[in-house]
Amino acid sequence: MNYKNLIAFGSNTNLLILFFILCACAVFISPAFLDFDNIQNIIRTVMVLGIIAFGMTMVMILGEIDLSVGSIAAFSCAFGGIFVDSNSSFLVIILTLLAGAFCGFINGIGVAVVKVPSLIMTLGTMAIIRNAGYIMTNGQAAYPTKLDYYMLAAKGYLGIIPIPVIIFIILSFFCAIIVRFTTLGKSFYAVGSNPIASLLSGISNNFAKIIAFTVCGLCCSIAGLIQSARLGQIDPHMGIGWELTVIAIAVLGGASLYGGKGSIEGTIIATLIIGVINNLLNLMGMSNHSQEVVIAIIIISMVLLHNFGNKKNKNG
Amino acid sequence: MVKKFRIFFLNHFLLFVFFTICIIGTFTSEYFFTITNLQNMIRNMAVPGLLALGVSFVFLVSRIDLSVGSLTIFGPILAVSSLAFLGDIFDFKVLVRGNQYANSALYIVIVSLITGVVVGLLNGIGVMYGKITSFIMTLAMMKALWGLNYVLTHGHAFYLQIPTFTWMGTLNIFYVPFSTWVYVLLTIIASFIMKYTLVGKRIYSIGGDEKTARLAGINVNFWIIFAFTLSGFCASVAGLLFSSRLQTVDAPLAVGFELTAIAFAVVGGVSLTGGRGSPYRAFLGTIVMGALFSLFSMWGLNTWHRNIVVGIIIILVVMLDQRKNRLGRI
Amino acid sequence: MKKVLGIIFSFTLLFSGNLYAQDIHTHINDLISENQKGWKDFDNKDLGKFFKKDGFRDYLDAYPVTSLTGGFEWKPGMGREFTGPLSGLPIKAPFSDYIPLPDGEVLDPDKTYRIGFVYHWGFHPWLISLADTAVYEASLHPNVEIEVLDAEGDDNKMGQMIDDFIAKKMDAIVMWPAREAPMGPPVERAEAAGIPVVSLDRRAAAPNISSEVLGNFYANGLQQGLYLNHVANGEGNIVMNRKPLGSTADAMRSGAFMEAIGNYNYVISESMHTNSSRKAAFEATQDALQAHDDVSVIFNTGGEEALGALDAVLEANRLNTAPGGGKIVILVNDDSKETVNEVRKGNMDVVVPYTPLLGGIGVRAALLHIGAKEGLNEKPPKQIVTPNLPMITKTKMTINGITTITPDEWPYAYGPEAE
Repeated sequence: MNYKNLIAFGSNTNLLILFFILCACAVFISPAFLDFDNIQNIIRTVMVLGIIAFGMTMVMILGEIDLSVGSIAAFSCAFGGIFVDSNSSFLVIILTLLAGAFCGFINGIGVAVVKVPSLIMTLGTMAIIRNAGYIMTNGQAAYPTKLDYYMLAAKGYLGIIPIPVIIFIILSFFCAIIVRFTTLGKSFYAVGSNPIASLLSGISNNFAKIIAFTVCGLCCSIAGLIQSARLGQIDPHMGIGWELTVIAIAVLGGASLYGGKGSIEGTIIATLIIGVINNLLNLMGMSNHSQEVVIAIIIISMVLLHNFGNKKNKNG
Repeated sequence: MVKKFRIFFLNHFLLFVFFTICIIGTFTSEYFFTITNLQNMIRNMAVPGLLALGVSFVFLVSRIDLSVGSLTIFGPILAVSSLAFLGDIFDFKVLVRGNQYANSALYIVIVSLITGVVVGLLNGIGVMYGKITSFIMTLAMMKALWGLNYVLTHGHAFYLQIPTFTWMGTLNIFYVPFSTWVYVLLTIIASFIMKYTLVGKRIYSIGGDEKTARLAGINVNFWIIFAFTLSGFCASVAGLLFSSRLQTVDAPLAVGFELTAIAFAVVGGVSLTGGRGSPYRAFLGTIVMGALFSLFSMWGLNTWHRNIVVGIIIILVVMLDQRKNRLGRI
Repeated sequence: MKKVLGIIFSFTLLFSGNLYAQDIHTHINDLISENQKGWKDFDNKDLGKFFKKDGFRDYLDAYPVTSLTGGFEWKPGMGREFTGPLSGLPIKAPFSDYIPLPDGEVLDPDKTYRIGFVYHWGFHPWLISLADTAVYEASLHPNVEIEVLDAEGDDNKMGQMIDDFIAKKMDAIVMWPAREAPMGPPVERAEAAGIPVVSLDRRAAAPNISSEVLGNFYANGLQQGLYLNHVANGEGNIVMNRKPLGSTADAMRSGAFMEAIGNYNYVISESMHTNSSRKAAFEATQDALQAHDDVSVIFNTGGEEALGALDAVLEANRLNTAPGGGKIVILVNDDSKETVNEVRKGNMDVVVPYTPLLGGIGVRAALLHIGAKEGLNEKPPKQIVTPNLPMITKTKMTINGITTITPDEWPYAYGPEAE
C-alpha cells in the first residue's frame, strides 16, 4: 500500500484554500470576475492546458518529464487536418487521437526501452515532431470549419455546459481513477519514488512508463483538438511554449520533478488557480509582459509557501 | 599502441566527429572552407557555447538553469534603460533620437556582468534556501526576466552606437573573431579552475554524491549557489557579445537559447544528473553542433529538415553516450 | 429607362477604372499629407498623448510618400495569375507589371544568378504568399536560382543566414525583416561585401541598403481611420489589436490611424500587442470585451489578429453590443480570402488591402541591381513604393473621395479559400 497518495491529498487542501482566497481577492478587485461569461472564459481558456497537465502529471509521478507536449498537439492536429476535405469529422478526430497516442508511445519507447533520459528524449522529439508537422503540411494551416462534430468540441453545449468543460470533467475522472485506484496507477508512484523496489512488484517499470507517455500524448491531441476547434484553424504552429506552463501547473499541483509525488486532483486545482490568476491580471488591464513577471513571482511564492507550510525538508 | 589510440579515440570521440563534419563540408560545398564561412562558424559558436559552459556548471551539481536565455539580453537591457533613467534625473543625454544609445560602453559591461552574477545568486538562493526545485526556480526567473525585458524597453529596440561595441562585434584578431577569443579563453580558464582548484574538487564531489558530500562537511549550499553564479556570469558575457554583434538591445531576442545551451552541453557529454562532464565537454558539444549548423547552411537545408536532424542527433548522441558508459571505459 | 441607366452605369464603371487608378494612388497620398499632424496638433488631447507615448512620429516621418517608379499606373485588373510554387494556392499578383523584367533569361545568359531569400514564419498565409511571388518570379528566368530560408522569428538567426549568404557569395539578397533594428548590421555587411540587398514590406535599419520595396502601410491606417470617421460620427470606444512594438507594420498603421481620428471624440479603451497571432488576439479581445462592456470599435493591424478578434466577439455574442445597440465596427487590413469573405458576410466592416504579393517586385529589383553592377542597365530607385490600394467594403461607398471596392470586385485576395 502506498500512503504517499494520502500525503498528496493533504497538500491539496492547502491548494483549495489558496484557490478560494484567490477567488475572493478577484471578486474584490474586479466585480466582473463573477460574470457567467467571464467564468466560462476562464474555464475554456485553461481547459486546453489543464487537459495536457493530466498527462504531464502522470509522467511526472513516474519521475519523468515531457517537453514535447506542444509539438504533439500541433503535429497530431496537423495530421488529422490533412483529411479535412474528406468531410468526415470522425475520421479527422480519430486520426488526430491516434497520432497523438503514437507520438506519446514513441516517447515512451525511447525512455523506457532505449533508456534515453526523458529530458533529452522529449527535447529531441519536441523538435522532430513539430518540424515533421511543418513538412507534412508545408507550414499551412487547415480549416475544419465545415466539420460539424469537430467544431462541436469547442462550440457545442450539453445543456448550458460547454463541451470542452464536459471533456475536461470526464477526463479528470478517468485519470484520477486510474491514478488513485488501479494497480497501474499505484505503480506510477512506486516507479517514481523507488524504481528498484518497484521492479519486484508485478507491474514492469517499462510498461508503466510507456502507458504514461502514451496517455500524455493522447491528452495533447485532445487539447489540440479543442484549441483548433475554438479558433476554427488547425495551425501547425500551435503549442509553442506550452510545455513550461503545463509543468508549472503540475508542480503547483504537487508533482515533483523527482517523481513519486503529485495527484490529478492537485493538478485540477492548480489549473483553476492559474486560470484565475491569468484572468484577474487581464481584467486588471495588466500588459502581457508585466503579467509574466507577476505570475513568476506568484509561482515562486506559492512553492515557497508549499515548502515551508508543510515543513518538509526537501533539497531543492 | 592501438589500445592507446582506441582509448584516446573514445575519450575524444567528439573531436573526431567535428573534424569529420568539417571534411564532409569541404568536399560537399565550395564555400565551406572559406575564411568567411569558417569565421562565421566559429563566431556563431561563441554565444551558445558560453551559455552551454555556464549551464554545464549547474548540471555538474545536478541542477538545471533555464533562465540563461532571458538573462543573456537582460543584462544589456537593464544597463541601457537604467542609464536612460538616470539620465532623465541627472540631466545628461544617453538616448539620442529616441532609441540610439550613445554613451559609455564600460557602464554596460559592468552592469551586465553584475546583473548576471546577481541573478545567478538569486537563482541559487531560491534553490538552496527556498528549497525550490531548480527547474521551477529558473523557469520562474526566466519568465520574470522575459517580462521585465519588455517592460524596461517598452518594446522598443535600442541601437548601440558605440565604437567599442562595434569593435567588439567585428574585430578579428589573427582572423579569429573577438567573440570566439573570449569564448575560448573563458573555456580554458574554466577548465583550469575545474581541474586544479578547490572549486572543481568541491563541485565534482557534490555532483557525485550530494548526501555524502554534506555529511563530509562540505558547504553544499555555498558551492551550488556558486555554480549558479558562474552560470549567470557566463550568460551575461554571452549577452555582451551578442548585443555587440547585432548592435541592438531588444526584448524579443534570444528566445530558446536555454534549450540550445542544454542541447550543446548534453551532446558534449555533460550529464544531467551531475558528476560527469567538464568545460571541455561543453566545448566539444558546442563545436560539433556549430560545425553541423554551418554544414547545413552551406547545403542550403530547409529550416524544418535542419531542426529534425538536430533533434535526432541530440537523441542519438546521448544514446551512444549511455551505451559507452554502461560498457565502461575500454 | 433601366437599360439606358444600365449602359451609362457600365460605361462609368469601365472608365472609372482608369480615372480611379491614376487618381487613387496620388489621391490617397494627398489625404495622407492632409492628415499629418504632430501630437500637439491633435484636437483630442488624450489621443495626442497616446500618439506621443508610442513614438509614432519617428516612423511616420521616415516613411516615403511618393509617386510610383517609372510613372507606372496601376489599374484594378492588372497582373498575372499563377499557382504559388510553395503553397500550391491560386494567386493573382497585381503588380507583376511594375518595374518589368522580360521573361526568360536575364542579364548575362551565360551566367547563373543566385538569390538568397530570407524571411520568417513560412506558415503564415501572408508570408508564404510573399515567398510564393518571389519564387515564381525567379522561376520565370532559367538562369536564376533562389534559395528560400525561414528564420522562424529569430532575428539573430536571420543575421546569421545573411552572413551565410555572404560566405556563399550569393549575387543578391531579398529579405523580409521582422524588426528594423537588429537587421541593420547584417545588411550593412552584405552591402559592404558587394551584395545588393532588397527589403520587402518592412524596413531594415541599414542606410546602405540597395532598395526597399514598401507596401502601403500609411494608406492602411489612414483608410481605416477615414472609414471610422465616416460611419461613427466621431465617437466611440476603441480596442486596438496591434503588431509587435517596434515593427514598421505596427507603428505605421497605428500611427496613421491615430492621425486620421485625432480630432474626434474617440476613446482608446485598450491597446494590445497581439503579434500577428490569431490565438493571442482571440484571448486578448476576449479579455478586453470582458473588461469593457461599451466597446464599439475594434481596430486591427493584421488579418490574423482580426480573425481572432472576430472569433472572440462571435463566441461572446457581442457583435451587436455597441452602445446604442449597433454593431461593433471591425476595422481590418490584409486582404486574405478569409477577411474579404467576412466583409461579404457583414461581420467585418472594412478591409484595407495590404497585399503580400510583392516578392516578385523585390526579385526584379534585385536582378536589376546586379545588372547595374555589371553595367547592363540602370539601377532601380532605392525606395520602391507600391500603389496605394483602396479599401474594400460590403457595399460601394465614397469616403473622402475614395470609391471603395466590393468583395466581388477584388481578385487579389491571397491565402486559402474561405467558405
